[in-house]
Amino acid sequence: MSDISIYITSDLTSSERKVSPQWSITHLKIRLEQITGIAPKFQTIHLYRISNSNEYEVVADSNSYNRQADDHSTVVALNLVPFCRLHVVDADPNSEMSQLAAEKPEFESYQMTEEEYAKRSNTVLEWKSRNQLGRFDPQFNQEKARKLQLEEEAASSMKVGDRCRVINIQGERRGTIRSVGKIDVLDNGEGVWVGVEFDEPVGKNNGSIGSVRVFSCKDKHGSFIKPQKVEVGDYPELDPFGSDEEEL
Amino acid sequence: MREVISVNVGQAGCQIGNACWELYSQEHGIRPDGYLQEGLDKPKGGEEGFSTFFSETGSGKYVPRALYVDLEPNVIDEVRNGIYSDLFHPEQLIAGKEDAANNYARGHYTIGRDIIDDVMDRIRRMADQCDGLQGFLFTHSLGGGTGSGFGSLLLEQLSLDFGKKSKLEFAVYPAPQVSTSVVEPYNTVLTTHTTLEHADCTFMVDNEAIYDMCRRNLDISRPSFSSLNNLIAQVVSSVTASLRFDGSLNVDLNEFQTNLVPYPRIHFPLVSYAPVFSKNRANHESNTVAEITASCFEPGNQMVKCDPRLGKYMANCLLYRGDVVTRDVQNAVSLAKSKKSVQLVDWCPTGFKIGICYEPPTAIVGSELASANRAVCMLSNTTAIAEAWNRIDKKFDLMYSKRAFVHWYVGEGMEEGEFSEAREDLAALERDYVEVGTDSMQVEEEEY
Amino acid sequence: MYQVNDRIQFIDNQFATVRFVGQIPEWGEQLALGVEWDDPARGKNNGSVGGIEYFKTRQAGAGSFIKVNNKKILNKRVSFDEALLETYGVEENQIGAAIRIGSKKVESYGFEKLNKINANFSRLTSVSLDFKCIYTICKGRSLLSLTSLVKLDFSFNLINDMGDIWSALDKLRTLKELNLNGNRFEIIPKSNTIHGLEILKLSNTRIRPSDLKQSVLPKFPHLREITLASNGYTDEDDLSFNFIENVDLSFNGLTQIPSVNCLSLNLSDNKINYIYNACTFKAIDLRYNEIDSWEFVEDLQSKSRLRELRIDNNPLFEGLEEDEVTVNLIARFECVDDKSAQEEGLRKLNGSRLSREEIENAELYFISKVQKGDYICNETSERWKQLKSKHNVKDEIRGPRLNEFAYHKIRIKVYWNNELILDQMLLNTNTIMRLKGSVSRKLNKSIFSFRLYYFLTAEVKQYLDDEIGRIGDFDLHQQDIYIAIEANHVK
Repeated sequence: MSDISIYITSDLTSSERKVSPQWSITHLKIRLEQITGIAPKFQTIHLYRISNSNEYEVVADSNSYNRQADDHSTVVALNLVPFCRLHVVDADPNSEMSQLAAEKPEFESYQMTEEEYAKRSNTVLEWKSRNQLGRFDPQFNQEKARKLQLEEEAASSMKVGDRCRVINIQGERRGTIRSVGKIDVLDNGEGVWVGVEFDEPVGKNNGSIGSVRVFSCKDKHGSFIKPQKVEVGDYPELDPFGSDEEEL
Repeated sequence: MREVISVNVGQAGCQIGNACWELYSQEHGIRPDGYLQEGLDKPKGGEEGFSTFFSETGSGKYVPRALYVDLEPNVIDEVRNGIYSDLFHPEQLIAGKEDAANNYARGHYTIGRDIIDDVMDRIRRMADQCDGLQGFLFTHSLGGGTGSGFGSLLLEQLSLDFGKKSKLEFAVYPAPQVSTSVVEPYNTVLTTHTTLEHADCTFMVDNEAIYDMCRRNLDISRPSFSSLNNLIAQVVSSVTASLRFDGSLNVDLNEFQTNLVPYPRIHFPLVSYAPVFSKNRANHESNTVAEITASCFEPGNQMVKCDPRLGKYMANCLLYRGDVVTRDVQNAVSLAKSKKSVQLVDWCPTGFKIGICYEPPTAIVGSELASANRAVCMLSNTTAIAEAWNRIDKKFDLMYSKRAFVHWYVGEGMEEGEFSEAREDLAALERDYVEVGTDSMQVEEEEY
Repeated sequence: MYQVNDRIQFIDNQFATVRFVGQIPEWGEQLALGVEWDDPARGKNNGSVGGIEYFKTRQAGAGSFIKVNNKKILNKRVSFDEALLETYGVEENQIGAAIRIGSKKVESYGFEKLNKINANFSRLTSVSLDFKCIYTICKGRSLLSLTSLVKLDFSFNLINDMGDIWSALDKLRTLKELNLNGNRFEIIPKSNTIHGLEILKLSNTRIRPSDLKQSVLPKFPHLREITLASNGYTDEDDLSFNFIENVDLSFNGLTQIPSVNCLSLNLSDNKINYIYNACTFKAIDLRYNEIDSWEFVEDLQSKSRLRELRIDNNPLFEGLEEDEVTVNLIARFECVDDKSAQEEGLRKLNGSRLSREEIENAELYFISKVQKGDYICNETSERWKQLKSKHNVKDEIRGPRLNEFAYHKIRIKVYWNNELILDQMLLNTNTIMRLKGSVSRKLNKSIFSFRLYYFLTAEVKQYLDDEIGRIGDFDLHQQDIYIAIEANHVK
C-alpha cells in the first residue's frame, strides 16, 4: 500500500504529512512526537475523518498506553483515509508542550544590549563607524543643525489658527494650522512639524501619532508636515460647489 | 554565457521548484517533454537570457539547469512520475532514504552528511557544462529539517567549492500563526545563522501571506498547495525575469546584491507583486501602471507579513514587465511616493531603482491567476522585515528558556552551544536593523 | 463646442453623455449642459429642472445640469493618432532626475530602450490607450503602422460611434483582443466586413443585446470570448447569441440562468436563484448571487454537465464551515479527480482541483450525514441513487430524520456592552459550543471565561450553558443574545 497524505494537528502545530500504512503504531507515535513535541506515552490521538468537522474517534488513549501492543499493530489498523486529520492531545500536564501552550503573552524575549552589540564585530554599527556613515559622518551634526535651522525659520511665521495650503503632486490641499513644534514620538523631537487640519479628508490621521494626541480633528483630516511644505496665507476653504461647479 | 543553476532542497523547495519550472517552460515556449512548442523555431525570450536557465542537448531538447534534492523519496518520486518528468535528466533528481524528521541537526549533521558528497558531485558536473557560471538560485524552507539543515550544509559547501559565485535564496519562512512542527523556530534560527554569511540575497516567502492572497485576491476558498505554489512561482518568475529575458535591471545574479544589499548581513529584501487578480475578475478590473505600482506598497501584496510603513527603505527596486510606457511609470512612482511616505535611509549606498523587462508575464495554464499584459514586482530592503525575525526569535526563546526538545538536536551530535550562538547572531541581526534605521535626515516631503 | 451625444470625462474619472445644450432660466445667459451620468447614482434628476423637461435620461435619475465652464470637466479631447503618438511615440521622455525621494535621486534603467521599442509602432503587439480622452479615430493614419498589434486596450474613451471602431478595425487586421469597456456607443451601425477578433470586452457599455446580435457579433465570426459585465441586463434581455466559448455576464441584474450558448459562463454578482433552462455550458461562475437553497444546487446538477463550478459567497453557505460546503457540493455533483481521463464530471470546484481521495471521502461522509438526517438531499434524484450504488449503500440504516429542521437557519446577534459583536446565520443543528466558539474568537477570550444569555421575559435571563445543546433547542428566534463575563465562571 502506498503512503497517504493526512493532516496532523496539535494545539501548537498544523501540517500536512505523509504516513505509511506499514508503519507500526510505535513508529507513528515517534513521528508524531517529532512534529508535535508530545511524547508517545502521553499521546491521546483523535481521528477526524473529515478534517474540519467536529466528529472524531479516539484511536489512541494515553491512559491505556502499551508499547508492546503498539509495536505489534500497524497504521492499517487505524483505518486512515486520505486527508483525514490526526489531532494529538497532550495528556501530561507537566510536559514541555503544556508549559509552552500555557506561556504568558508578556514573555520577554532576549534583546541584545547596546553594549553587547557594540562589542561584536561584523555588525552594521561597525560598518557605519568604519565608513563614517550616518552619525559617524563628520558632516552629520552640522547638516542636521542646518536643517533644523531652516525648519525653524520657516515655522517662525506660523501660528496655530493660521489658514494654509500644502501642494504636492496630487494637487492643492487647504486647511488650518493646529500645531507647530517638535513631536517626540515622530522623530525623537529632532525636527519641527506643522500639524494641519485639512478642510477635506485628505490627511493621514486625526491629529494623533499612534496613541499620542497632538491636536484633535476628524479622521483623515489631520497631517503632520515639514514647515517648508506649508504655505501660510489667505487660503479660504474651497467650495466644492463653487459657482462654476454648481450643478442642478 | 552566464548560467545559473537552480537548487531545490527539501519538500517545500522541490514543490516550489516544480511550479517554477512549469512556468519557466511555458514562458519560454518549452513543452513538458523538453522540446519546443509547435510553431516555434527557437525558445522565446532571446538566446542569451534563455540559456542562463536551460541547456540544450544535441537533439533539440532543452533541459533545466536544475537540481532537486530531498532526504526522503516521496516528493522526488512525484517529480519522477509527474507530467514534467521528461523535462529532467534522472541525474538531476536526488533522493535519500531517510528523512530529516523536522530536525535541523539530522539534515545538517547525520543524515545530510551521507548524501552531501553525491550532491556536490552532481553540482560540479552541472557546473562543468557551463561556460561562465554566474551562481546559484536556492529554494528551500527555513522550518523543515531538510530545508533548514541540509540546505545550509549545501550552501556552506558551495561557498567552499565555488568561492565567490553568487548565491540567491528563495526561502519559505514559517507562517506567523500556525507552525508545521513544534521545532520550526529552532530550525529557522539555526539555518539563518549558518547561512547568513553564505547567501548573498534571500527572498522570503511566508505561506500564510500567500494563502491570504489566494483567498482574498483569487477568491479560492480552500487554497491547495498547488494554488500557493503557482502564485509563488509567478513571483519567483518576475524576480528572475530580468535574468531570463531582455531586461534592464538585475540582469546578472550579482546585481541583486549590488542593488539591494547595503551591508552583507542585511540581505532579506521584501518581495511584493501585482496584479494578483482572479481570471473572472480581470475582464473588468483596470490594471493601470499607477494601480499596480500602488498595490506593491500595500501589505496585502507582500510575500511576508510586516508593515513597511513602520520602517525605512534601504533599497528599492521596481521591476516592470510588459506593456508600459515611460511617462506612466514616472507618474506612478511620483504618486506612490507622495501617497505612501516612502522613506529612504539617506546615508546607505543603495537607493531607489526602476527597471523594465520588455516581455509580458504569462499565466500558468489552468491557474486561477489572470494573465495580465503588465505586471510589477517590487524588491525592497526595508527595516520592517525585522518584525519577521523578532517573531521567530520570540518563539525560539519560549522553547529554549526551558531547553525544550534540545535533546533531539544534541542526540544527533549537535552541540548545545550552537543554539545560543545562533540566537546571539539573530539578536545582533535585529540590532543591525535598528542601527540601519537610525540617523536618517528628515526630508521635507515627508508627511505623517 | 458640445453637441448632443458628445461624451465628457471629468477630472475624477466620471463619464457622462451630453443630452442637452442650451440656456436654462436658472442660470440666465450662462450656457448649460444637460448630461446623463454613466453612473446613475451621480445624477440628480431625469432631465427636468424647474418644471421643464429638457431631455429624458435613459436610466432613471442619471441626469443633471452643469455649466459649460464647469472646472471638473476634463477639456482634453484627442484623436486616436494624437493619443498613440503622445503615449507610445515619445522618445525623449525620461525618468530619473525628475523624481527624488528624500535626498536621493530615483535611478532608472532601460527606459531609453523602452521608448525606442514603443516608438517603433510596427513591432508593438500590445497597446493600451485607456482613459486617453479619444473622441475620434479621425484619419487614423497611425493605425496602418500597427502591423503586429494583437491587443488593444481602448477602454474609457469618448468615441460614441461604433462605426469609428469598425473602420479602425479594418486597418488592424492582426488584432485579436479589443477592450472597449467603459465606452458608450450612441450609434452602432452594421458593418459590411468581417474581422478575425477573438476577444472582445464590452463591459460597462450598456450595449443592447439586440445591437450585439445585429451589428456587433456578425462582424466577428471567430470570437472566442466576450465580456458583457455591468451592462444592466435583466431576465427580459435575450442573450441567446451564436456560440462563443467564454461569456462574461457578471455584475448584471439576472435572477435566472439565461440560456447562453457557450462553454464557460461567468454570472458572478447577479441575483441568480433560479434555473429554467437546461444548461449547455461546461463551466459556470455563480459567486455572489442569491442562491439560498440546496434545491437550486440539485437542479443545477440535473440540468447541466459541469466540469467547473464556482458558487461560493451565496446566502446558502452563510454559517456553514468551508469544509461542510465542499462536502455538500462534491457529493451533490459527480466529481472526477485531477488525474482522471474521464471526460464528464466536475473537476474544479471553487477554484481548486479535487483529488480522488477527497471525492470518495466527501461522498461517504455525505451519505452518512444524509442517513443520519443531518443533511437534506432529494432521495428520489438520480444523483442520490448513483451515490448509493457507487458506495454500495443499503437503505435500511437510517437515523431519526430531522427533516427541514436540519437546514433551518436562524440569525444570531450577540451583544457585548451594548455593542453588536456578532451577527451570523447559524444552523439549528449547530451547538451552543459552536456559537460560543464564534463569540470567543471575536472577544479573543477563552470560551470558559464568559456565559451567554437572552431574556425570556423582561426580567428572566436564560443562560445558554448547555454547550452540546443545539441552537434549535432554544427559542432564539428574533432574540438578542448578551454576554456575561464572570471572573470565576469556570466550567
